[in-house]
Amino acid sequence: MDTRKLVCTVCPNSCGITVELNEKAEAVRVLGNKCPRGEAFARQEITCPVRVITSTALLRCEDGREALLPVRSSEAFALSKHARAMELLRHVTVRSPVRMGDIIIRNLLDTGVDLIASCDS
Amino acid sequence: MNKLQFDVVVIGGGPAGMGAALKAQENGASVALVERNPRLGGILLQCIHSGFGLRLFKKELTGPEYAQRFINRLKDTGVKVFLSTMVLRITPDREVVCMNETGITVIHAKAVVLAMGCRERTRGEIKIPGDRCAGVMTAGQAQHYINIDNFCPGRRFVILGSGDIGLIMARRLSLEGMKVEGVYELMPYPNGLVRNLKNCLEDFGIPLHLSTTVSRVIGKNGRVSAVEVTKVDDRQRPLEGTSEIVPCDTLLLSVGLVPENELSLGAGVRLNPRTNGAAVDDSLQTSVPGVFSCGNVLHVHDLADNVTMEAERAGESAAAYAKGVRGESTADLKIHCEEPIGYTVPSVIRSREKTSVMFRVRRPCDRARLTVISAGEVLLRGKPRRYIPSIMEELILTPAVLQKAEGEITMKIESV
Repeated sequence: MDTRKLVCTVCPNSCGITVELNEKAEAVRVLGNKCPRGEAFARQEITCPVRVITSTALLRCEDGREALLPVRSSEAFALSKHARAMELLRHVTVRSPVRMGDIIIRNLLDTGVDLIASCDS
Repeated sequence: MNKLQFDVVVIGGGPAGMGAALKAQENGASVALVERNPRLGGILLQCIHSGFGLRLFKKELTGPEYAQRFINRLKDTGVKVFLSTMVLRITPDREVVCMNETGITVIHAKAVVLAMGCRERTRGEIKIPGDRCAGVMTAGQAQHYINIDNFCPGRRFVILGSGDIGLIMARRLSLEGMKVEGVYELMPYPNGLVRNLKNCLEDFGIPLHLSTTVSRVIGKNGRVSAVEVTKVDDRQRPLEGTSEIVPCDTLLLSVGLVPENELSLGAGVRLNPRTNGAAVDDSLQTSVPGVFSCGNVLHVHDLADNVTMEAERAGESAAAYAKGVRGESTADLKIHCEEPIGYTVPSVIRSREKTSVMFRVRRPCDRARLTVISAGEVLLRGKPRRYIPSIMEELILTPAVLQKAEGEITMKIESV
């Protein structure tokens, strides 16, 4: 039986997890996690790794000045789509004022996840 | 010259300063918070990545989000915030001399909380030989260029040091379309959090080279054109014949942080040579009565959540001091730590109340047990587990344990 070793990144405990895989590379058993979140993480990680993306968007302030607004995805989404999300973000300009949590891009790349502002501007 | 008076004056508006100010105010003190930048938040503002708040808010927040929560809370309190204000000097009798556009202001404080954070070590401090050209900078400097200033500091990077900021910058640069050739680490083990090794290097296929260092900077026309990397032996001495040339235009350094204690020294605060931060007791009071310290100026943390919790302890202690509350005078318990424990904070315990002792090991111990001894008696013995230098550990000492201690407490970590 194949196994894969992972480190859980859900919380700072950083549990070392071993996933036992069957011949179709599906998770049969998850070992080493201290909590149920670890099991869910491991199953997700071997099928389709997901991460929160964080970057910046160009912000046009009320006085005309340009600055950067830190942004994030509201949830984790497929890592394989992150490069395309970055490309999209390069062409976005946000107008001040913005509040933390305001949606900058709705339903980013049809992932169902929004890109939101990380702080007030 | 303006003269003001507050119960508690907090120096620095990052996570430590904001946490301390809020707690001191909550405990009934009048509080002033002095920040040199035009905005509150400190280093959190440029740490746009997520991973903050997991312990405190049970949520994964970005640095700016973590900061915004405290900024919002401060707006609803009576804490007087001074922005764009530089503290020039703190006197031993707690006169805080500040300067801003309006001129000089002297704030008299019944208690002071030091929360100035830390600085990155630079090329000069680790003495990398070679050409003195442009293109060598600290990872945090590059982070500021990219996340705040919208500058592109280079195209092709080598990162020296596997500290968290270096790892986070490796991912940030990759996302922004720049090339990261590799991360080089002098020690035989990585220095950053495991989550960062995974999410920042593995996800982007960036190689981590352990026991390898940058041995020479090579410049051309005033800019970095390559670095020479060399493997080292188990005592970090370069191994002859192992050097390689790695072409790049920028070298980022993520080689450690140093608490920024110039103001503390001016106030007469005694430093602990093991942390480069103030020597403190369990109330986080320094050697100068009424002066408290917390966050990265006290010792370098790996999680902002821990900074906040420590800062709240300092804020509470400072408010109590300002109100004239003095703890019951009991005999000091000195904490003595043995290798491989590098340091403890605090280094002395005065009360016999429940106390948390933060410590860090100097080298990884795969399976080891923590023992606490006093007067020849074992007070506590932990379960065997793993200890690594990149994770700060916390030991809780209960009143029952402290009552049994006498004179000195010895902390040991022994392999089993």
